Amino acid sequence: MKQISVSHAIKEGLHEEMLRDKNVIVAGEDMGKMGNPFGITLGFLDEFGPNRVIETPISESGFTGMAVGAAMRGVRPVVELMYVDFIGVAMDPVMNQAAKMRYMTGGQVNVPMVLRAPMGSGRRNAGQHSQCLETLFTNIPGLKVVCPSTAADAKGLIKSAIRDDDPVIFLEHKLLYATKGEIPEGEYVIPIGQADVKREGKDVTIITWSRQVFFALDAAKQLEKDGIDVEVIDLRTLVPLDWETIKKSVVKTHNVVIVQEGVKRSGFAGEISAQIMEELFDELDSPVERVAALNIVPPFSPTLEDAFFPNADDIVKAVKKVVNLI
Amino acid sequence: MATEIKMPQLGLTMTEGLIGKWKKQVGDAVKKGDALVEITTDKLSSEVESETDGILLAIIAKEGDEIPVQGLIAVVGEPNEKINIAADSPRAEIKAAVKEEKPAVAAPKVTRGRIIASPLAKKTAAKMGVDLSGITGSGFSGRIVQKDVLTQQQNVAAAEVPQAAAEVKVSAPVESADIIKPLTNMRKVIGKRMAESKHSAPHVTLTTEVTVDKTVALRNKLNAKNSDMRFSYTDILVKMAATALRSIPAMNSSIDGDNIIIHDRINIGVAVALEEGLLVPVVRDADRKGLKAICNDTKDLITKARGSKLTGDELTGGTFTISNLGGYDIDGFTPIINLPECAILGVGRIVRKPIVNENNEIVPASMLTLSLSFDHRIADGALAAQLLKAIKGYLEDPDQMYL
Repeated sequence: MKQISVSHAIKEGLHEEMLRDKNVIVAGEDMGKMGNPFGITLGFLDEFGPNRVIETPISESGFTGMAVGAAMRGVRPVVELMYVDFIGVAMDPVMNQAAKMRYMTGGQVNVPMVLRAPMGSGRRNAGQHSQCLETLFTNIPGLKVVCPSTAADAKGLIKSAIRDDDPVIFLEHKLLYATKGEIPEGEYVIPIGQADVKREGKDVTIITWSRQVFFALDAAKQLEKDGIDVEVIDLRTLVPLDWETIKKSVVKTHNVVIVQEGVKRSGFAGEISAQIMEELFDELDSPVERVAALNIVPPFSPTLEDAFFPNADDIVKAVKKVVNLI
Repeated sequence: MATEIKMPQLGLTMTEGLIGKWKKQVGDAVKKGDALVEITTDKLSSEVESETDGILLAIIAKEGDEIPVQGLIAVVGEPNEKINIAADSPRAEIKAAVKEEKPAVAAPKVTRGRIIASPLAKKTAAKMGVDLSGITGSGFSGRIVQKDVLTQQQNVAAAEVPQAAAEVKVSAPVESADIIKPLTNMRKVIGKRMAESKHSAPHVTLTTEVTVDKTVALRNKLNAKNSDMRFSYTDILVKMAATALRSIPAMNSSIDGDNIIIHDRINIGVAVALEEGLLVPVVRDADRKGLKAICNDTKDLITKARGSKLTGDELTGGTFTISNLGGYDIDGFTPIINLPECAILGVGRIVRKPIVNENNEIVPASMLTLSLSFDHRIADGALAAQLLKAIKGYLEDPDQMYL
C-alpha cells in the first residue's frame, strides 16, 4: 500500500470524482492557478478548464450561494472556504438554503454540494483562523458533517460526500494535511456515518474525531503503562452519528472520555455526553468526562495557544480521573 | 435469549432466601419446571424451578449465599450464548491489580445523606444482591463503582466459606468415631433467628401451674362424640389463647422499629418439630374459628410441614405462638419469642398430682404447667400475667369461653 499525505488523498479523491462525473466542479479562492494554499487542486485548472475549476473572488457568501443554486440545478459543486472561520459571512446559503431546500420544496429539489473547509488550532493563526466550528453545523438539521483524520479516510469520505445527494460539510484539519498514511489501492469509498475503532480496549472509551484522534492514541499508549486499557473511537462523521459503535464500546468499558478540539461550551462532545447519559445511564461507572479547548478566543501566543486546546497529557489526566487513578 | 432466574418471593414477608444445594450444574440441560436449586427462607424450604428450557449458563449465587427477593441467582439460555455477567469479572481483576500500586490514600467516604454509587454499580449490586451500604467506594470522591461491588461480593463469598469450615473445626477434639455434619440451611436459619430474638428482645418468662381436669374432661367428651375428629390439647389451647388475646389485645402485638403494632387479627403460630428442624405454621383468625375448624387447620398444616409442602403465606403473619412439649414429658421451659411477635406460650405435660383443694383436702388432680415468654420492650409483667391468667382461667373452667 502506498503512503500519501492527507492533502494528497483529498486531491486524489476530488480528481477521481471529477473524472468520473462531469457534473463535479470545484470553486473557491486561489483554487485555479495557485491550486489552493495546500496544493489540493494543483493542476486541476489545466486538466478540467475554468468551467469546472472556478477561481472565485474573496466573496464567501457569493460563491457559496452560487454553489447552492448550481447544486439545485444538478451540478455537484465542491466549494472551499480557505478557513472554516470564514463561514460567518457565508452562513445564510448553508444554513437557510442548502440545509432547508429538500424539506421545504417537498423533495422537489435537493442540494448535492460539498463545503470543504480547513479548521483547527496549532498553527499560531490567532483568533480568526484557528477555530473548530463543527457545532455550528451539527446544530443545523439538513447538513451532514464529516471530519476525517487519516489520509485513507479523507479520500474515501470526500468521494462519498461528492456522491451524496445532500449538502455535506467536510472539515479538514490544517495540521493533518501533511501527515502521511497508508491508502488502499484502486477505487474505494468510505460510507458517511461510520465510526472507526482505532484501538480496542476494555477499561475506558475515548470518543473523538479529526486531529484529536492522534492525541488520544498517544494518550492510550501512555495509559497502557499504568495498566489502563483504552479504546479509541474515531467518529469520522459527526452527523449522522454512528451510535451503534459508541453504544457497543460504552457497554463494554462503562467509562467514557470525549475529546474535541473546539471550545468546551456547547460543543459536540456535550451532545454525545448527553446522549450517553440518556440512553446508557445504567452502563456508566463514572460520569462522562469531556476534554476540550478552554472557553476563550484562540490565542496567538504559541505558549498560550498550546495551553488553549487539548493535547495527550490532558487526555491522560481525564482518563485517570475517570478511573480514579490520579 | 438468556433467561435470568431470580430469587422468588414465597410469601408476603419474605425479603431474602438462602441458597442451598444446586441440583443442576453449569452446562446441564434443563427443562421448564426442573428444580435448579434448594432455597431456605426464614420460614420454609423450597426449590427454584427453571422458567424455560435450555442450558444452565451461569450460577450466580453459591450455596450459602443469601440473596434478596428478585436477586439474580442463575442464568438459563442457549448453548454457547454469551451473557454479560461473566464478561465483567476479568475487568474487575485487572483494575484491582492496578489499584494496588497506588499509595493507600483512603478516599474520604462522602455520604451526603445517601449512598453515592455509579449507575452501573447500582445495577450490578441489584443483580447480585449486594448491599451497597457497607461498601467503601474507590471511585472519584468515594463513589462506589462496579469493581467495588464485585470485590464485596467476592469477599463475602470468601469470608463465608472458611468461617463455616472453622465452626466445625473449633469444636472439641474430634475422635475417629465422631460424626461431623455441616449445619443444614434450616439449622442455620433457626440459629440465626433464635440468636436474633435472644439478643434483641429482653425475655421474661412467667410460669404457672393449672388444674386442667375440666379441660381434660371436655377433650374426652369432644373426641368421644366426634369419632371422625381428634382434638388435641394444642387445638384447644389455640382457641383459648386466641380468646384470651381478644380480651387483652395489647399482647397480640409486634415490635416494628420504633412502633408497636397491635394486631387486629389473631393468628396463632403452632411450633411443629421435624426431624431436620422446626417450623411454625399459622392458624389464621383463631379467635373467630370453632374448634373443628382449628383442628382441621392444624392437622392440615402439620401434614404439610412434614411433607415440606407449606407455602410462604402459611408460615407468615403469626401474632402469637404456642409451643407444646407436653408430649415429651416436659413440665415447663423458657420458650424463645418468635420475633417480631410479643409473646410465646410454652405448654408442658399434663400430670396427675396431689393438690390441696378449697376444702383443705389433698386430692388428685390433672396439672399442667404453662410458661409464657414475652418481649419486655412491648409489654410489662403485669400485662403478660393478665394474659396468662386469662388462659389459665379457660383451662380451669372451659365454660368461661362462652362469656
